[in-house]
Amino acid sequence: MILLFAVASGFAFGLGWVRWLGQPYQPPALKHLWLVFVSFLPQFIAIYFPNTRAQISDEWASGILIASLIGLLGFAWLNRNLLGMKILFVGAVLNFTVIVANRGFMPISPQTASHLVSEEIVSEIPIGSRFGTKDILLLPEQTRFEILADRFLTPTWLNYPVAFSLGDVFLAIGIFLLLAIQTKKERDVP
Amino acid sequence: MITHSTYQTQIQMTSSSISTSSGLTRVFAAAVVSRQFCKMLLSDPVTALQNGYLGETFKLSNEEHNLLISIHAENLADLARQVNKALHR
Repeated sequence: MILLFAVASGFAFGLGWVRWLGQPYQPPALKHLWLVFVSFLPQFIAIYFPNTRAQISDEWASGILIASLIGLLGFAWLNRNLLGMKILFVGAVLNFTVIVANRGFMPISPQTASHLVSEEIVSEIPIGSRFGTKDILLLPEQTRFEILADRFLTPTWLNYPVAFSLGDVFLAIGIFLLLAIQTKKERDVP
Repeated sequence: MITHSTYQTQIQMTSSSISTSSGLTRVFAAAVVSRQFCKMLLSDPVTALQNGYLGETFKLSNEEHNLLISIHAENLADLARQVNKALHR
């Protein structure tokens, strides 16, 4: 949700900015866009698409997730000259680091998980099991780079609990800048 | 990043099950955390219930056991919906 919000708000800000200046919106000039599709497709099949997800073991799913993240990191690196992409790259590196260090999935503690589902359900899930699509339930003391795990929560008044990582915050800022400010930079180029 | 909606369906199904039976709750909890168990529960519920999960068998009433093995669900959400419907008749 945080990334979706970043995309929507970045796009809206960028669009509003150029409209105010009376100029057309210039989307960021992304190179090697095919890399995103090639990288994300296996992740979609192994992690998100229900029919195929059930056929793939956790070991394969984690391997595919890591390979997919490497592809996305490559895409961010190849486009690092774009404003916001360096921040996005840092976010991707942080998420990649914590995922690789924790059996190929994003760690989440039972305490954080209990904000997403009832404590009764969390207590039924063995520590070390997959939680949701890309997360793994681990105690904080078992987690490597715990500060980079899914440990932050959206405010309760939002009434839509989401757990996210420090890397997600960087990703969101990067996406916002990419969509909101890039247009201004490109507009300034004669 | 993970949202509560990932488990929305499962929350619905377990919350209705909790008031009925902890055995049913355990069956669904096992199906949520283990895709292999979930797959077996949907394709061969008799074997899945006999084998249990992580060495633990499920304490189900005859009615619950018969209900689970008689339902032909396409997925876990469908199974939960049908169980919920049957138990609230």
